[in-house]
Amino acid sequence: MNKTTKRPLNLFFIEMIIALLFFSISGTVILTVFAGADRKSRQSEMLESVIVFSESVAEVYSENGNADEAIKLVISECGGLDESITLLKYEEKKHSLAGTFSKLTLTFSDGDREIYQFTCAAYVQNGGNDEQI
Amino acid sequence: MNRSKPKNAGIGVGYITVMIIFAVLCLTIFAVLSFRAAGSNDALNARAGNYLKDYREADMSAKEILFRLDEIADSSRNSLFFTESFETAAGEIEGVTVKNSLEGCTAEFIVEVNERQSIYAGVTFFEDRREYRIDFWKSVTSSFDEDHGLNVWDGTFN
Repeated sequence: MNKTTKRPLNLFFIEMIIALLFFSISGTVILTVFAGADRKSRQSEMLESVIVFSESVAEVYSENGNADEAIKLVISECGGLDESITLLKYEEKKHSLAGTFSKLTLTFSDGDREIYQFTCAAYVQNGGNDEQI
Repeated sequence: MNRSKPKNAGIGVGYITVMIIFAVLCLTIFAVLSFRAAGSNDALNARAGNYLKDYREADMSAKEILFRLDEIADSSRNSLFFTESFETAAGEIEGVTVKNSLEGCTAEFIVEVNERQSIYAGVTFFEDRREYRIDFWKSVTSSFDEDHGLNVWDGTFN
């Protein structure tokens, strides 16, 4: 009598254990995928903000040919970048009697990972029509 | 009596398996969808970033040409014949065409951004003053030409 009443209960527990095991394994895989999607989404958001920032800096820089001023203006007008992002700038200038041609390279990185790098340029005529470009 | 009413009649064997499979299936679908959405967004941003890089690279080349042309114009003003001197020197720069105008010389050049787009610029350099005027500085697509328009059906059967 006792044996017949215990069988369904044992089956139920065995099924539950197997189901929980399956769920935990699947859950681990699914959570990894979710975490990957979240990481990718954050990186993409970061890249988007960096691109907008770069575009703004390039526009201002092509007007005045002054990197510090351009970055300052963009930060004051549009807000700065995320605190985790490091910005490195490298400026190169070529002078002549006619004017100054300058190149600005901006490198954005998050820790060791480089997010984005781009180069823009400006040409400012000596004492002439700076606003034309 | 005991046989007709079993104790665990509420949850039968197999019910949990079905529910777990359903939950896992739902979670898998959500996870894959969110991963793909994040991936496509990332790809879109990467394309925008690459385009900006290409455009600024082409803009830089165009500005470098402008810098060289302005240098040429500056040195040509010191010579007796501005137009001839400017034309000869500017013609040596690749992709630059020079036209004469009443005010001075107009230099036109095209710099390729990518296989579909280019920067097309025209700058006039004056003979009598140390200035230049940018007549146009625009991006043009190579597939579309304003003179020819889009290739659409005109409504006639040949």
